[in-house]
Amino acid sequence: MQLPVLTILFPLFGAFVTVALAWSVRSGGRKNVMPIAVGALASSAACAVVLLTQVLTTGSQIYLLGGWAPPWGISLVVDPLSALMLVVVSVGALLNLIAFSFTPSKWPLGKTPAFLGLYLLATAGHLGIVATGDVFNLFVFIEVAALSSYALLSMEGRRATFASLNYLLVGSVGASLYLLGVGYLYIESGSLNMLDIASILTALPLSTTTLTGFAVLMLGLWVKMAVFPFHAWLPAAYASASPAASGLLAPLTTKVMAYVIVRMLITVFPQNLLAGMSGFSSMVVWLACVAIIAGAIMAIAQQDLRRMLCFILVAEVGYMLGGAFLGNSTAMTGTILHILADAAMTLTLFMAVGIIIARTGSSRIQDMDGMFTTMPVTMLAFVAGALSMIGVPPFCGFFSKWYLVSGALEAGHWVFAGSLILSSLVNVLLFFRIFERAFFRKPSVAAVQDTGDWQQLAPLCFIALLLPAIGLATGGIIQEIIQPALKGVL
Amino acid sequence: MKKLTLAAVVIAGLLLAATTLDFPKWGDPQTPASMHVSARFIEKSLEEMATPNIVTAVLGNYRAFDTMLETIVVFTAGLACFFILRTRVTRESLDPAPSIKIPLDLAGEDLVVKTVARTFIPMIQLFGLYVLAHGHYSPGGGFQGGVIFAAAYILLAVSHDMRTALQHMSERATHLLSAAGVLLFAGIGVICMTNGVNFLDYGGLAGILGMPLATGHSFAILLIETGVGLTVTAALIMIFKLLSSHGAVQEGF
Repeated sequence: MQLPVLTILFPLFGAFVTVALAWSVRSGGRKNVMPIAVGALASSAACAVVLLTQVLTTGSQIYLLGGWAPPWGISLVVDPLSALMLVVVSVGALLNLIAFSFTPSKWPLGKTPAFLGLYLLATAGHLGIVATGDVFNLFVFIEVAALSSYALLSMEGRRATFASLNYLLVGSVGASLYLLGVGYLYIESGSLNMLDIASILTALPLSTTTLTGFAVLMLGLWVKMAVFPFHAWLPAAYASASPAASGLLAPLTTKVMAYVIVRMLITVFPQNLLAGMSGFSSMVVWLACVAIIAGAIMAIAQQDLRRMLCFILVAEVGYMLGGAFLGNSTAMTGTILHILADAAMTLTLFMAVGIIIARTGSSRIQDMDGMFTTMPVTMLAFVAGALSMIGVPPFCGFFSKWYLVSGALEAGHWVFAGSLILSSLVNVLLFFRIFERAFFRKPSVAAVQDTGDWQQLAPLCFIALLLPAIGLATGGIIQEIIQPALKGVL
Repeated sequence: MKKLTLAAVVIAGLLLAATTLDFPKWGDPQTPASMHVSARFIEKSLEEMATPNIVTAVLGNYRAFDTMLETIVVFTAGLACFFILRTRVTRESLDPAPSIKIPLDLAGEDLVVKTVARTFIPMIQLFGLYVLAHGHYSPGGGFQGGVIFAAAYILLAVSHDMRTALQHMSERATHLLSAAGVLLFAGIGVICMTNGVNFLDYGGLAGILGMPLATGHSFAILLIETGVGLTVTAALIMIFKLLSSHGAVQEGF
């Protein structure tokens, strides 16, 4: 009954209590903040999992906040697709927090509760973006998620602060463009509720206002999603942030924004809109091709492991954007699968690299020599993530790419299929270069064993094992979650 | 590059300006924006929540979830400023009034300024409370009242010095108040849930308190506006202290 709102409330209350407790008790209170944060995220994840099973058995749930019916009030809409995303966000945030919760922090004691508060607020923001059924409420959740992200990413030296300031400026422009788009939609429809807007716009002839609203709103989301050429904030911010912050935000932010784009295309905007703008969607697919190739080329040039992953992420964003705009259900299926797969494999890779940074203090590729002997468990998880990123069956990355390529061929867009395969080949090159160093060369940095610290390694192993599991469950996911979401559209 | 950017901005601006030609006439009552959801807000809000100010009715009740999240944005802003700007967190600085002797010429020993400020601060605070509480009937509410209340504190700090300001409100107090405000707002929502209704459905609170439905809604709006006011006041004071003392939140900078 109350599960949709509880999923969001647990991290929110966790954040308030963390801050209040840290300042109310003179000394002892601060030691208890970590269990509270982990507990809040675990409760949220449990709610999300129960919600997913409920939605799959009994159908979508609409939660009316304040009891006001739409379009007057705000509602949370949890259908199979958003329920799955809620699980992805809450479980991802929980695993990452557990993995980094016990690394000694460089900050003075008083800042750890603030970090946890911001971490919980960022998680709650992303959960809300996924759950809400109201376009303005979505903007407010974007604000909560973005503001806490800027702060989380900024605390790791001067470079991180500068990169985060850059992200703040770019991100604010993106959010403003989204809001402007919502304004255009409101002028045309008089409503903010997604389903209500959809029914009103379908009945009206397409007007300049609707089309401008669509274009401006999409532009804003692309900036937030780091689509090339609006990508520059992403590698700068994620590659210099603390491992705990980049491990939370790199897997979540771009994927949640991709979800918003999918939601706008399949739920909010009328189906004749994109059909009437074939020039626009083909331009977007070409933009996605450029993003994929540019991301792959820039990834080759990187000397730092985390920066390299960030540029691979820029290419992955291109996959999701292109698939969403190809205009057939196979490609859209591939996009949704890839949102899930990319969240899981990015989390694996960033957590593994984060653990390497926490242990050795370096993420330069040349310091990866002999990593298999010193940190075998971390490297095995890294290999799992890398194989999934390349697209080796049975890892989940293979299946989503399969659908994306089939969709591209179905649409006759050979260039998109070609750039996707090219970027996968580049990934082979990038990752095997690292495997070669890590497996055959002698360790260069002082050997730091990773075995024994299971608090840190257990979440990593869990998510690494999940990669083939998601891959093998692809059939079920498509049948139970993606097909109902795409029914009646495309 | 700069010229290219300028050209892009100008072209985008002209394009957006051109799209306004498609807009309905300004102030036209026959547009979707005026007809679709507004009708119910105008006709029903007084009856449903005994609040003549329709803006307050929409923000505090129909779309209270948005307002709660906006308050959380303010809370997040305060927390983010603390997280980024605070330079030293020592036991001493958590307590008010570190005993540093300040040279007289730096301490702002101006009798006229101090006296005028001391006269005005209570009046400003009273006005802030009025704006907060009178939001049901006139423009106002928690955000505006909170800003005015914080302005009174900032006047105290600039007319006297940081030490005096800290004696009146320590850093600990600002953090606790900031968290208390959002806890009050979200807590009202949870109290409603315990009565078997949805989050932020003030009917639940009315049931618990045994009030008529509309009065309960009106009372709940006052409570959440108080929460908003607390968080806004505390967060603004927190940000002011951090910025004005280079993150040290004590005298000497």
